[in-house]
Amino acid sequence: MTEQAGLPRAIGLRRGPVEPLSPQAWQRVELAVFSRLDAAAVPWSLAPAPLHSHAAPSRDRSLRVHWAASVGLALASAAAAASVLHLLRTPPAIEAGAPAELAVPAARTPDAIERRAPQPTLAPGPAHATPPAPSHDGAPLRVQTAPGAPVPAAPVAPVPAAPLLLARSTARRDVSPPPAPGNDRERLFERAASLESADAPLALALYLSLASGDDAWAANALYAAARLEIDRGRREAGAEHLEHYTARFPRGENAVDVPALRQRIGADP
Amino acid sequence: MAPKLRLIATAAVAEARADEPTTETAMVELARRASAGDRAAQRILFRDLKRPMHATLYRVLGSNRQVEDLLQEAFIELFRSLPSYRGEAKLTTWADRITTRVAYRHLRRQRLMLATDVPAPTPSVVGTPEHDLHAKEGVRRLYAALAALKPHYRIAFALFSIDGRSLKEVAEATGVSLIAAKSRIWRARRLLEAAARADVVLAAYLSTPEASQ
Repeated sequence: MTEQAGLPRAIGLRRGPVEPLSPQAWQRVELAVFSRLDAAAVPWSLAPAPLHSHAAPSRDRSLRVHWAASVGLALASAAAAASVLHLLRTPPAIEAGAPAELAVPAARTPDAIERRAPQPTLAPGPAHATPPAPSHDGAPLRVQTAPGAPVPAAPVAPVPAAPLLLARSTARRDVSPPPAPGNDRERLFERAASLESADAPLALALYLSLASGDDAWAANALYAAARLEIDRGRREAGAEHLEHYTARFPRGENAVDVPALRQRIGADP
Repeated sequence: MAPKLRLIATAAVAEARADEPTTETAMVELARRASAGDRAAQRILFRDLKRPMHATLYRVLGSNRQVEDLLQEAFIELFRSLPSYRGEAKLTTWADRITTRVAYRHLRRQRLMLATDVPAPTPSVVGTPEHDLHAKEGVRRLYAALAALKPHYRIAFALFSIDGRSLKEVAEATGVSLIAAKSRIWRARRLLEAAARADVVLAAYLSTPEASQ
């Protein structure tokens, strides 16, 4: 019976082995943790990237921009779709004998949606005149705000609603930046990282193919390849990759980690 | 690497190790980079800390049930709290404290939900099948009895008596004073002994040599 500070271990189980988690379980945990970290990083889109971040900032920044652009695009598309649906479902209230009169709910015009104008509450009752709204070709368009009270409108050519909205959607889309050229390489890197425990040779091949470039992802990939080789017990290959890394990227983001890795394998330049 | 170069390298390593920057220094640097969002550093930390963090959870809970979820929670909390890590304590101690906190919250939630889900850990004893059976049942009863304790008693007891940590380590992991840690372990022991008086199997298990080392 052991005693410590006057407290006997009267009840003490023999310290047996911890039942290990399967590699698949570890992979699930790792994926979940880093997915959650990625997800948590997205709402920080308006915050500047940390100054001392190494591999992540460019990736995070592009993720944030794309996230913001996607949300904007989705909102615009939803508004456009709702508008088209409404126009399709609402038959124009054209009075018999008055072909030049057109009834369109004012607040439903695409312009109103684009300007995010508040939708007026239209109570049934006596008609009241509304100021003419400009049509798409510049001619005044009179609209009615109460049923049965058509307002004379200038002859207007049929409005090509869908193409117009599509054009606006396209214009919105132009606001989002084009995908950064490094995105594919970034995805490739992430793919390789996620494959490490399941298929290390494939992950290594991906890293090495990335390492043939000369950008930041090439540096990251070369370092990751070295680490992976060392993790797999292939010290010489790991040391070789580390040498290449030090030679090619002496100021690389992982340069400070190289000594620690070298210590693990017992190599030094 | 050429043989000559390798020899030079080996000698250099030997020299470097004499006054080597401790691994802990490297860990602090890793933590700094991980807290700045460096994914590579985060992954290295994950790989370095996953086994001790899992071991802590396993000892406290007694099984791998729900351990995956708790590991996720612990790692997320670790990465989120890294910016406040100043290197005063070892990173492993810091991670251990977070893991213990996660385990505590889990146990408290379980108690609130009046969970009757009793974990059945793998017994560490090896012997005859009959002996194994007794041991397994004993461990199961022990964790069932632990489940009835307040979470902070259970954690202190598990870390001290099952994981074999020192009082100081228990106090560090649970973030309390030595006196408080000792008191918690003592209280837990008293409660377990009371439970054992009403449970012959548990009493028999706790009185066996492997349970009272």
